[in-house]
Amino acid sequence: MSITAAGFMVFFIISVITYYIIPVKYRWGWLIVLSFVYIFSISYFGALFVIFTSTVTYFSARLMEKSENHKKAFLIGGMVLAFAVLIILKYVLGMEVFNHDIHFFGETYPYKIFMGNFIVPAGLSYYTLQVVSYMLDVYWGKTEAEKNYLKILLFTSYFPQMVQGPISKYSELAPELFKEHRLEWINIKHGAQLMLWGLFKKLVVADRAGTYVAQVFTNNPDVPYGASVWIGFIAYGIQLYLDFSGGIDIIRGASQCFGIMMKDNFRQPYFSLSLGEFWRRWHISLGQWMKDYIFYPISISKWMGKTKKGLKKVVSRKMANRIGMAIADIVVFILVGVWHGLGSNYLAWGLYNGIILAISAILVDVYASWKKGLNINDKSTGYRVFSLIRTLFIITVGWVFDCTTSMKDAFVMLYNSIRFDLTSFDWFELQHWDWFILPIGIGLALAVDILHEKNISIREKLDGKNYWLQILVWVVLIQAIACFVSVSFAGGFMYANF
Amino acid sequence: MRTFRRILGFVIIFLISVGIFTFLLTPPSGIRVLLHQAKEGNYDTLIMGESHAECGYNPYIITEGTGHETVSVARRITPINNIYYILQEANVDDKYKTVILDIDPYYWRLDQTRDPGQDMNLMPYITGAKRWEYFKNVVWPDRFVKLFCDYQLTWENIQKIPNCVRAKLDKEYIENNDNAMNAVNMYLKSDTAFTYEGRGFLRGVNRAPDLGWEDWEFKGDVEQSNIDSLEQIKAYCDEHGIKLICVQSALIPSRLKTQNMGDVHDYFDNMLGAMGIEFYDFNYGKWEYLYRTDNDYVDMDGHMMGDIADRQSRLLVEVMKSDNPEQYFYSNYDEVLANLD
Repeated sequence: MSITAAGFMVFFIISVITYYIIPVKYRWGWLIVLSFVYIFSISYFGALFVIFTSTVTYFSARLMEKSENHKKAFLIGGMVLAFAVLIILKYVLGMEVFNHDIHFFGETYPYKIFMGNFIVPAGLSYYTLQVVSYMLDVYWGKTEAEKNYLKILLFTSYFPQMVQGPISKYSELAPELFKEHRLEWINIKHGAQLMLWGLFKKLVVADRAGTYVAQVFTNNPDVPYGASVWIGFIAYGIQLYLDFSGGIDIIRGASQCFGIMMKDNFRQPYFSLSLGEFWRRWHISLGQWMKDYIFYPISISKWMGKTKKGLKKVVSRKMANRIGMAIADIVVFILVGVWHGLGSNYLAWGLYNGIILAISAILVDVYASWKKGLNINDKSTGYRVFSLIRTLFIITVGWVFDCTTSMKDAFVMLYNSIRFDLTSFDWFELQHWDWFILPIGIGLALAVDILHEKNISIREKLDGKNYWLQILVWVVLIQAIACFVSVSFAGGFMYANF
Repeated sequence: MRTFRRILGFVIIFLISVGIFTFLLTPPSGIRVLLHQAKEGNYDTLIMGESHAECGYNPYIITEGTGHETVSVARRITPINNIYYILQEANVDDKYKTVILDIDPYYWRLDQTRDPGQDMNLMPYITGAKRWEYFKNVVWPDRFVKLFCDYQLTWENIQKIPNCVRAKLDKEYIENNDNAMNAVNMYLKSDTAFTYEGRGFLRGVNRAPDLGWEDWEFKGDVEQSNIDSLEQIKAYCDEHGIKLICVQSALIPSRLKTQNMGDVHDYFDNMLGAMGIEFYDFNYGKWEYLYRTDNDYVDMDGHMMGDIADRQSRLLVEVMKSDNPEQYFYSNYDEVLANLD
């Protein structure tokens, strides 16, 4: 059940109504029921894995708290079991060698359809990272182990976040989940507005941009060269951002209707002035997770200490620290790449980003001296525009690893992208109406991002306006989705694949 | 109370906007008219499919030749799973004995998404328990906007608004009688290439100005959901004592040379054979029974002019009546190609 589907909307409306009908103290319990209805609707046996992971997490945390001597063993045990489910279901059973039909209760299913409809739970990658963060927080004493199993069950299964995150920490999400939520219309109103905006971004703009991405990379009868590759990369960057951030808006909006605020996962990433800033603004919850549970532990680990100590013999103390950070960056990005999938293109993606960040970290002083020598002012508009364009270029080149299925293909495509003499648009069909809708949709998304960048909340601004104007805005937004929904492409959410 | 009044105000204005957009932008429904005819008329043979079937089989000739009253509910760009529900609705009185289902392989390769504004939403026309089944299986997994709208705002549709209004206010269309399809076709402006002759049959009368067509290659890439729908159609027919015959309308000869229609034939012949469904591919029709040139077609897509449709219908009658239908067809694609020249 996609979150853009009619079924989800009906389910969601019924969920909100029933949630506020039942007594306040039972509301979070009711969310568990709703969450498992949702999980079951996607994958029949997926719910069993969610329960398994929740149970492992609960007991691992409880035992860690009770036992001082075997604390580490319970942590490792819990993490191994939680990751085992992820690795087996996503990586091992997701391998291409498994492609046979499955016979089940008299029916025959292609392998991938069987796995998706019956076995693999929604949001597996996301909730696994969530429970691991909880176990680590309990181990480090940052969070107390939850005594109520049902609370852990809801933390793992809370249905709005099952599709594509955000990845929340227990300490952040639990207070929201378990406080007494009374009906506040402003939450319903703002939540619905956020959902509609997300649906607009996804259904009208991202899916429409996706048709051109498909024309370049998937449905193209010829190998794309030169400018057509770049058009594909740019369209992909637009599609991915509006698809993912649109999905997150829908999720956060849905959650707000229950009175549960979820943190944002994007902060206008395309306005970043460096690659590091981009990744702090893009998929924030994953970046935060990686920082808290990979980057810092690596940075303060014993072997990193030894490495830095060795480095200090040959380079300065400052440089040794920077090299340490660079190593941690590369490891983090390789892991993020692997989290996306086991293809060599994802490994290359991780290396590409990690190495650029590592070089930036190591050469920070060199850059500073260059700027000083060239008399460049960091704060000047010209340099900021240059930095923005440079960052967008690096990001856009990086999409090559998403648009291909192996490292080799990625490098071939990169080579093809500079062969401008072979550029051809013979296969390119831009529906004339899209000339109108795509720029307006992208322009609207950009305008909203600019306002957000200036900390202007459109929803709050709208609240102060005349009732009839508010109605007009609502109706126009809904009708814009209805009238301009992309007809030729109705893909699921791109990040739901991860 | 104030909040409820405000929400109610929004709901009312939203519904009014939906009503206005629906009236102006949702096309007049051909499927509504055809279903009405198929349910109300005294027919026992049903022609189903998409546009190739709509203009490729003349129900009057089939009626005359077989003695069975025939009507067509074939409609342009109908998704395969809609055909299953159209069949059930048309046969609500259990009166049909034969279904002739045309297979246009182009559609079988697609997971059609029932785009809004294309007369693909059957919710208003399906009755009884089937309506819930349609909602559950088709509307429920589809994009949420389909719950309340069946329109698209495009420049083309804006230009069609006057015709849309005229068609919907047309007395024949309102009364849903036999000539209502003229109002529908007025909206589509297809009356220049086709005329409506009744019983769902569109007669091709003029060649379309743009005969362009992009060939596609068949790689056996038929959508599983379409095969599932065919299995449902077959099961329904078996359950209701209906004889199901699948046919493929003959394509424009020049396309037979450039497209791998032999592979298409083999794929569907094997699949339908395995399901126990009779299949007659008129691309394999012998020239002495179905001589044709590119000029017999309205366009390169394969929409037939009236004369070739009549000939194909006569051949279909012969095939249906024959104890040895194979005599009317070439046995392999090489023979088809050899005889093209």
